[in-house]
Amino acid sequence: MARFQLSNDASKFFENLQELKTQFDIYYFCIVAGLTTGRADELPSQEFVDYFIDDYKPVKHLLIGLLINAELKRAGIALNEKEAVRSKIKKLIDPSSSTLLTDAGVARLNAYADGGYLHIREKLGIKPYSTPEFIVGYTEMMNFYFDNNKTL
Amino acid sequence: MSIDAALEKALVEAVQDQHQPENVSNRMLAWLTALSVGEKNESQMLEYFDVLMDSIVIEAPENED
Amino acid sequence: MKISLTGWESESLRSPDIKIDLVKANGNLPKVALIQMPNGTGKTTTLELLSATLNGSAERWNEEKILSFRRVGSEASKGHFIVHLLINDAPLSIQLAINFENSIVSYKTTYPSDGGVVSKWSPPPEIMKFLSEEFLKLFIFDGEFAAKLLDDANEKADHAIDALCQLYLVDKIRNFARNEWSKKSSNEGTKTEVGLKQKKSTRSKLLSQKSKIEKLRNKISGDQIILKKRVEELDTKISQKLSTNGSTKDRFEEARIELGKSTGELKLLTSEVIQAIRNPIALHSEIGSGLNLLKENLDQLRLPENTSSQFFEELKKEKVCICGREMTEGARTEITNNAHQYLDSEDSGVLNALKADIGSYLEKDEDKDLHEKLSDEIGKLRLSRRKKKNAKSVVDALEKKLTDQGDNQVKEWREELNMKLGILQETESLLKSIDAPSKEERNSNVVIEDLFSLELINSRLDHINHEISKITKTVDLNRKIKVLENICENAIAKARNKIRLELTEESNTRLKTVLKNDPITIEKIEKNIKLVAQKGASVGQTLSVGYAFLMSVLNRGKNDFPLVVDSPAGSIERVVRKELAALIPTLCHQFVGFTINTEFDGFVPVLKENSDDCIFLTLFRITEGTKRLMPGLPSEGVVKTNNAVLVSGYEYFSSFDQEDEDGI
Repeated sequence: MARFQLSNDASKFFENLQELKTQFDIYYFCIVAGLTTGRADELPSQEFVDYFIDDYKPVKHLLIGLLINAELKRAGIALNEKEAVRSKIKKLIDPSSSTLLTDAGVARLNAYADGGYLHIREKLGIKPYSTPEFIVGYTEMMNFYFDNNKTL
Repeated sequence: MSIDAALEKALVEAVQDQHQPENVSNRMLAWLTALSVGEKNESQMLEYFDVLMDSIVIEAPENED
Repeated sequence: MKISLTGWESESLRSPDIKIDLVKANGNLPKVALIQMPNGTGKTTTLELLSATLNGSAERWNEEKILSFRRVGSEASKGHFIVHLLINDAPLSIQLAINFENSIVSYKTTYPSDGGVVSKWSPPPEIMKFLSEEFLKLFIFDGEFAAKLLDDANEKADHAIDALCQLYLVDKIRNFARNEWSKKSSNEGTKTEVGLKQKKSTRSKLLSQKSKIEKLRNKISGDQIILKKRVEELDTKISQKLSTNGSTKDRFEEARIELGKSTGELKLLTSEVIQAIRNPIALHSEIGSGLNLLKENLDQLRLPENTSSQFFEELKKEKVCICGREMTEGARTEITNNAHQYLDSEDSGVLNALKADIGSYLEKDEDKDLHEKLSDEIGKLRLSRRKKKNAKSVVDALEKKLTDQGDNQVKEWREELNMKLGILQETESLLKSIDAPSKEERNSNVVIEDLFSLELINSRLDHINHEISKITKTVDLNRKIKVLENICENAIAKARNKIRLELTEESNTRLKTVLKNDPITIEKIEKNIKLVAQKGASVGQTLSVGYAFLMSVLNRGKNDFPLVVDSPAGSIERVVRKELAALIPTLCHQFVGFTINTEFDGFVPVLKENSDDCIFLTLFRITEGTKRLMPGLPSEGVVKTNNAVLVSGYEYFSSFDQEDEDGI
């Protein structure tokens, strides 16, 4: 069963942020950045868990929904193309796995995590030294992106 | 139905050569006797095997943590 | 144990339908019985059926083998073969029944002293070992077997010993043990000593790392106490030193309190914001809109469908598809091939939950949506951050003022205080790593030397201890099985050697009697029999040695077996036949030989001469070729069946000559 992966660089980039206690916290910020911007990449990474930890269980379906959206967009599939949408979902979702994702689905999410990290690093410019500073910077980054890129 | 006397003696000696207790040869002989009268039942065979394994003595390895 | 063959019966099989009774009119068994069966009568088949009936091996025959015993051209659906024995003078019969229509074989065992008929192959336990396939070959064999015992190219002597002493049973135990270990070890992870060693090495490293981290923690905790104390001391000293300027100091103290408050507020707010940010919808309204669009489109597309694998299975059973077309085989195949592309009920569950979550987060009837709330919180966070920054600036400015108003001592103290605070912060960070919960991190691939979380180290230790325990059991089992294998190997070798020596002595004793005019000695028995001066041994001597050895084997343990030999004189010269014929009556209590006419010369008359207790039977099939023999049958001692004739008596036996056989 595939595990979530976080790039080594990302772990180092966020190391000063004491309030981000778990790797999943860092992974979350990265995947949201990657899924919303559509940026994916592949960096040297380390595996960690193969499930959504407690803090993120309530929103796991939303994250899966973002993944579906990002993948449909990446493949150029419109939301009204039933066969294609169904087929894509079938390739991403596996109800029997602890992540609810197929191995391919997890691999794609990891790729968005890597891409999201790169985006964050470019936009923030410097390694964040405090969590409040990072959060403010991250939300400004997201606002800036959506203001300048019509996604819908 | 007994096992051939030479085999029985050889078995006892072989067990002693391996520094194993007497009940190892007893259990092997019991198993051989059962086989010689056509024992084939799998669960019976397993029982003979388990009981024999329990009787075999091995020393603990030297290099523990 | 004395076993004798009293006869057999065959019906509706490839061998002739006949009943052979070896018991004489006076109720005794003759020492020698020769049955003459011309080529094509079914001699080989008879012997094969004899063996199969006695050893129960027919139950393992496949269909082809079963049907091969059906007589060519016969329409009989069944046939049977019965063998009659005397076991220590008690009768035992074993019947092999063959059902050709169903290709099934079955057995019946009749042992009157045991209670009657049993519908399976079930000889009494005390004779089972003698009826094993391996042992049976020692007393039912072809005429070349005895000589092969001395053949370098064969291991027949050892096979005979193995069969006699059932050494093959020891192999059964050994093989069973190996199979059990294979089964058990294939279910586990690394099974070998090497694997266990690796695991123990890992455990060692983990314990070492744990000890190191625990010591570090203790040191840090101790250092922190000292550091905090020093920080407090310095702080007090600085404050006291600066107390000369009352109002500045008061403002300094107030500013420090304010800094403390704003730091606390910021920490709390940060924690709340992180919690709120964990919902992606809160991050930006576009994210929520995108998810909502996905939901709406899935609804419009009616995804997920209400289909399940059961739906497709039931659809295939219909005569007409839901599209209205006939449900052909082709259509069924298409449905089977394409069903997997549809979302099944479990996939649907995830999608439905996804849609429900999107709906529930977006449709909450509150004053502000999540994004607005988060934006507000971020705004507060900004303010709080600024407040803290400002408070810090005030504190720093006032401190500088106080310091400037003070002396170098205060500067030094300040420098030391800043350094100590820096170290304190590092130790806090380190302690945080050490005390980090492992719940989320337990599956990390971090190397042992980089592990800081004690909880994670302990979790890994538990895991590896569990693995070691599992492997240890398998490794222990392996070691025990190795001991068992050594015992088995040793026991077989010792038994074989001992028996070889015993049989050598016994065979040589026998040979002194049998070949008193033509002595020969067995030097030793290895895989085959080795004679003293083997190169000089005649064929006759060789044969005698083989038989003597066989009888030593068969008589071991005070047992007494018949010899049933196919073509005992077939491939040997006349002069050797004479020697063999003289030998046979001395070998055993019952000799049954299957001969053909060409073995008569030099063998049968000498046999008759050397044994006053012989019966002679001639058996042939009734065919076009044998019709001419019918007028020549004697008036007595003839049994006819549908397809065979059995004639008792030496006269007919001896006159059933070469010409007649050629004519058959």
